[in-house]
Amino acid sequence: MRDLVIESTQSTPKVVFTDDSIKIEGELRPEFPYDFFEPIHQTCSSIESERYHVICVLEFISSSSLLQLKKMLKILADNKKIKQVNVTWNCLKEDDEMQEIGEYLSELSGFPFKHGLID
Amino acid sequence: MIEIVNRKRLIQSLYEKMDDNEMIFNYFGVLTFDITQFLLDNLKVSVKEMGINQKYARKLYSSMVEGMENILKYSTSNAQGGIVMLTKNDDVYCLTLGNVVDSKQEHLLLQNLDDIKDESVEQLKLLYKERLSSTDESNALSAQLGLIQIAINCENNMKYDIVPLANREERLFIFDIFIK
Repeated sequence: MRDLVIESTQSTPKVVFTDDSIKIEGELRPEFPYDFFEPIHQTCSSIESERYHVICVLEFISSSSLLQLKKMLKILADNKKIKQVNVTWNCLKEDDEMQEIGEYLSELSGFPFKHGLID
Repeated sequence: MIEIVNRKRLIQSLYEKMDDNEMIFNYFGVLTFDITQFLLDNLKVSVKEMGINQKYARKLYSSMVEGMENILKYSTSNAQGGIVMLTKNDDVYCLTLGNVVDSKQEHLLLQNLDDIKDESVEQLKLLYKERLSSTDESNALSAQLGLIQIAINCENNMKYDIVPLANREERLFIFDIFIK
């Protein structure tokens, strides 16, 4: 797997891949969600670890980016080398919408989600 | 000279209307992704200065992101202008978005909005979840997740209209989103 670090901008999060995890942190509303996620999707399909941890610390996600994030989880699910994916979904305590989005993604992906709240 | 007088009148009238409607900000002009970023920064500053509570702020921010994304997607290629206006009346914030659309875009927008206008928040959330589940990223536009999200944010308190423009075939789409 190739290393990948994408630095954050005002509209995109910092993304850090390691051998056994990906952390996405910040605002997720790129102008072109497909282009932003393309290298992320490619890296997800080349992961060789048996256990993988997805950590999302998102302040905001646009609807068009949510579809790409859903696709990323699908790619991880379809990667035959990965036996187990765990997701940590952290969002602000008062942000009901982000909490609900985490619940939707948990249902859709079938992965165990650990929901965390930030003050 | 006549043009200058009219311009003064226009500015005076705009100022009076802005003052009467507790205008928080108003933008009219070319809308690009960079400009939407500038307007979102403006909203963040206004929210802080006015002490708007987090729940309102979140709904306003989300509606602005999704609404402006719709403007960028739906505007006719020869009219990249848009209107983004935030006003407050009593305790209700009104986000007004406007853009020029052609007849095909007009039809699609009205159809999508008519589909959701009578739904309750709970129904809208179910619809959002359904569309999220059934849509892949290649047909994101048809899913209308952004419009459904706006309807959830404002608890379906929204008004929309299409008005003609003088000497043009395209029309102006005006979208009012009330958040309280």
